[in-house]
Amino acid sequence: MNIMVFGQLEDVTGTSVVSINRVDNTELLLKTLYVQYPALAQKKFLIAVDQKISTGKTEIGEQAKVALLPPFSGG
Amino acid sequence: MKGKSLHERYHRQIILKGFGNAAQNALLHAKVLVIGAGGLGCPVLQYLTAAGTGCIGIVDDDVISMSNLHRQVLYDTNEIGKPKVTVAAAKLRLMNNDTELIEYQIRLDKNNCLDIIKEYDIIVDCTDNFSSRYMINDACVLKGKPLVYAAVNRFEGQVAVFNVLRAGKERTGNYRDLFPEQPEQGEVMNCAEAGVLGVLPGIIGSLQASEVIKLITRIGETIVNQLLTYNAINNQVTVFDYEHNTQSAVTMPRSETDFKKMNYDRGCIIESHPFGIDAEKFDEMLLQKDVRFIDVREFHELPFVTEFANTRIPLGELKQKIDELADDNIIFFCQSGIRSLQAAVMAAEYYGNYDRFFCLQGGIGSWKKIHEKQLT
Repeated sequence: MNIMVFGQLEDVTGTSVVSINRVDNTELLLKTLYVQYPALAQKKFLIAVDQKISTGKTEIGEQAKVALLPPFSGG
Repeated sequence: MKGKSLHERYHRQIILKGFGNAAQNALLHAKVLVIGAGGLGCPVLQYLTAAGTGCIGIVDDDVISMSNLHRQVLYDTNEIGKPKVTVAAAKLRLMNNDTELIEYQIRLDKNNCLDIIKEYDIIVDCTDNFSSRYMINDACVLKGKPLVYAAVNRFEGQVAVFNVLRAGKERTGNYRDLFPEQPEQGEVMNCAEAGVLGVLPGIIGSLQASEVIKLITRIGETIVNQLLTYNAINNQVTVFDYEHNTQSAVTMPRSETDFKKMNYDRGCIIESHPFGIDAEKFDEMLLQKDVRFIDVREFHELPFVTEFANTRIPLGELKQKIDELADDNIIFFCQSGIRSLQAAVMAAEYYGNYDRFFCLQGGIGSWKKIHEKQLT
């Protein structure tokens, strides 16, 4: 599955679209991402599933669009 | 002037369906505070002045520098070194003298913030750092003011409208519903470090101005309970929905007194409270026998703590497991010291005992950093 990566998280992943093996909830997603990109564990970001910000464990459907959104401070 | 020339100046928006004289009059009577007169502030100030906003307060303590000019389009090369507030206000007065401009050549801080904000109807966050952003968000929640937020980074921008009172409903979400905890300094690069495309704050600031005008005139829909993102590289605009986050109530100051105790420079940790212990005291307690250490982070959160014996009880599960804390001194820790403070408060209130519950100030992150420094 493809994950869209926003902002400075791209410095960690090296790309704006990350490919990982399919996972069916956001907890597994985080575990998979932290193994693939350990530096992500030090970053603050939101997980959006189908354009809805997830809090806690959220199911990820087969066709779901997933994005990682960090905070920005620039003005 | 007014009368005919007023109608002429704003004619093209007054004739819009749903706008009319009523919306224009609402604008002419509105008071808007723009915090930051930089990349975002310039277009916000220009469009709000041009649109006939009655009164605009401008807050900025900075002077114009050469590296500002590629995006801060109110300023010229020959104005380098001059205060932004003074130069901006002078140019905006020439643009439209219907608008009263109030200059605040100061840095907003927790001691002056609430008094300034309370004078305005709408607050616009055009600042460039997390300390100000969290402080402004919290001040707007405490004072009940709508906040139009935007931030930029490289080629991307975020826009949202926070804390709007809707008829018969609660206030809409705020910044802490998205990001409850303030990132530590240096955790996220700012424009000076990460760079920013000059036109980007022009686009994002214009969206902010548009949201302000819609809020004042009550036309259209604003970006409430949503976060809009824009990417100049691929022209992608995405709108994300979000809901109230229970963590926001934990990290938010509950009163004006609490607000003034916040340390926004360090990342929102209340300066001193009876539960907090520093790294030195923490290390002393590591050597004692009647002490248990509880990690209140989620199970997946890194770094794992292997330096001393500890139990992990995520904050959300603490209520169910609170009976496990019936004896011993308990020291809670988390990543930055915020969740552990809530855990200590919760346990102390449950047991009616304020002497045996503690939390590690600054969290395990800064504890590890201190120990790494000592090793090198």
